[in-house]
Amino acid sequence: MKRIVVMSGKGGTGKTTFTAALAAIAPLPIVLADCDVDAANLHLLLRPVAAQQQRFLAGALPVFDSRSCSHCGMCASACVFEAITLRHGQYAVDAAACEGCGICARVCPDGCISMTQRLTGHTIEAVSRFGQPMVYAQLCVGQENSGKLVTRVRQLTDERARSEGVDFVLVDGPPGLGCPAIAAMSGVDALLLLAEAGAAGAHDLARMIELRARFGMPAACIVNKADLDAVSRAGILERCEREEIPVLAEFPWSPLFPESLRQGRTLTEMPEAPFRASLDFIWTSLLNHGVTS
Amino acid sequence: MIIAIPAHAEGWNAEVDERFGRARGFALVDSESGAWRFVDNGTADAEHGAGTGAVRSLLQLGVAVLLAGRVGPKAAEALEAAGITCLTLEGQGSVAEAWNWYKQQRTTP
Amino acid sequence: MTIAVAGGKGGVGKTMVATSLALLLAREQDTLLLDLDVEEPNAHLFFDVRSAGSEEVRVMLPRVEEEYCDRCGVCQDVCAFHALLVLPDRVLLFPELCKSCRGCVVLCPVGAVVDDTKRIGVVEERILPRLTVLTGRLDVGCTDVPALIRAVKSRARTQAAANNLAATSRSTVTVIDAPPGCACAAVEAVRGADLTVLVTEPTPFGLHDLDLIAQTLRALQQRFVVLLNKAVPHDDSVQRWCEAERVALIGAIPLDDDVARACARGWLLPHALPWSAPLLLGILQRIEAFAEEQV
Repeated sequence: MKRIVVMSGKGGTGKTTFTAALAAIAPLPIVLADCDVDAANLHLLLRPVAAQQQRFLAGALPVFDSRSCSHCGMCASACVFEAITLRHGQYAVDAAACEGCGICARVCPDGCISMTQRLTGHTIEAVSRFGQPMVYAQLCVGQENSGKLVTRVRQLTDERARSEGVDFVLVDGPPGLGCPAIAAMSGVDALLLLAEAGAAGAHDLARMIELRARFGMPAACIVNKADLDAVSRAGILERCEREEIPVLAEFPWSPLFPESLRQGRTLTEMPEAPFRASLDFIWTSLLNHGVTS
Repeated sequence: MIIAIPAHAEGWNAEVDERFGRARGFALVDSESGAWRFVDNGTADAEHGAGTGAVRSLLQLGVAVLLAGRVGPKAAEALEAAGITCLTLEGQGSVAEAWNWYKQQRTTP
Repeated sequence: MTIAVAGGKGGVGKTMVATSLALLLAREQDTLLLDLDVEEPNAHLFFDVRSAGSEEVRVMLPRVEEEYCDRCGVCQDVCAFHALLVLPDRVLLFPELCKSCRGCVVLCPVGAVVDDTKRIGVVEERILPRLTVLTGRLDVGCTDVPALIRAVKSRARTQAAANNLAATSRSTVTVIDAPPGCACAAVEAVRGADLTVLVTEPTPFGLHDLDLIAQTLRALQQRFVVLLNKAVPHDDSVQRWCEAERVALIGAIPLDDDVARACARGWLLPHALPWSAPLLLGILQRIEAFAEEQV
């Protein structure tokens, strides 16, 4: 099974737009995953059907049994996150501040604190409008975005691929380089870096390349908005050459991109479809091990 | 000596799980007797540190050798520190196939 | 006064807006611009000034005093994050997994675990006339995002206090460039702001994510307004959303090649495109009016 994840570091570079476009013209059966669980967007373009939603529980939260509480306050003083306070005479937890370490439960002399799991989000298994199995998720608002929900999406994706006998997994990655990004990158065969040719895009790509160095997987690059800033573009190409990351294609900035989103179409479904050749080439590279380490 | 093989399910024909830290479970084979059993991986659902948690489980189970596909950097560090030998599987499909591959490695000069 | 600039979707123009607002505010009063997108900070790229200094941010990390450790394994048992592994000859610690809860320190029966620290990133400082830019930069591979955000905010408070002691006019105003998304990093960044400006774009992605972050802010009881970026004449989806949700739409910046280019090159918008200055000033005035409004 081959797994490719699209990452960029910076948000808004076009990861979802390009993942959807590649999905639309995939030359083989694939399974899709959207690992941007904080603000999942891939399903907006791929408008999947037959969706099955499942609750996702993670992260411990303390529950207080006020009957046996002696009000010693040890829980509150032990909590380094200041998540436990007295409210209306009872000890209670601020869920947003709680990190789920469980120390309060362990230090309570009355044994009146137990840890339960909280609803962190939902996973959805469905089929894209191109007939491809698809897994995505949505974090509940304000929840900690640890990599766990992302890992669950990756797990479900692998299981779907196995059960459907599909050998190729395409993952739409999250922005940033924290836990969700790390979880999205774990155990993939190659990284497809989407670089935005601008000062911020180049800066963020460099940090993503630094993160990739810790994993060591092969990578290839696509440059988007390539005509906006020649200086950044040159810097990106030079960095890719130094890192031996092949640049598979470059795309210009164009109002066609937001317009395609507004029309709910993938790039290749737009009338002109001028990028078809480049997208086909990207697929050829991904399949023929065009990505080198 | 106990050999651990990450697996998706119980059974000699169960598919090897390429992941280590979040593997469904482990087939544990006793290299002397050939006896084996399957244990669930309690840390598969861990938010972080599934790999290190899994190493802890292997330590407690007395595992000496791990046959694995992908092992994350922290887990690799933990395995080395724990003195558990890690051998990289190359596309073996089932637990049985992985075990046979391991036996061949031992006997081939 | 603190104004946070956020918006669920990445790439909508948060940093462009935050830097522009900070620039305009600095014409009149002492301003602090905090870049709290600590995973991928970009605001500093718009100011052609070298960092005046970079301060390490460290958080608590346990250390096992091996000579007292009896390998009982309690530390390993109580660590919810699997950061400790008790081996026959030593205890292995994984700093990146540690969340600094101090459980192991508190619960070790023989007191063999003590407080130490680990580095999670830096706070960089850039100084311009009446404008200080503080950038939080997370070390690659670290995941302690909220802790670094809190450290930048703490540094900002010290700076603001120092400014206020020295200044004779209005007190310091703070502008926050928040990270994308609506998870705890974005929440930590906007927490405590007098007003949050949600930047969005007229696309299904922008609207979808705007709705998510709006829900988040309502749950936190944080006041917010919406600023439309990359506006196009034939799309009024954001206007309609604001009307339906009874949220104030305080302005619109058009979708424009020149704006895109200026942003890509890291040029401050009011400087690069003079026509944008009155537009942005109008937006700023409306933001200030909303921020100062008594609820």
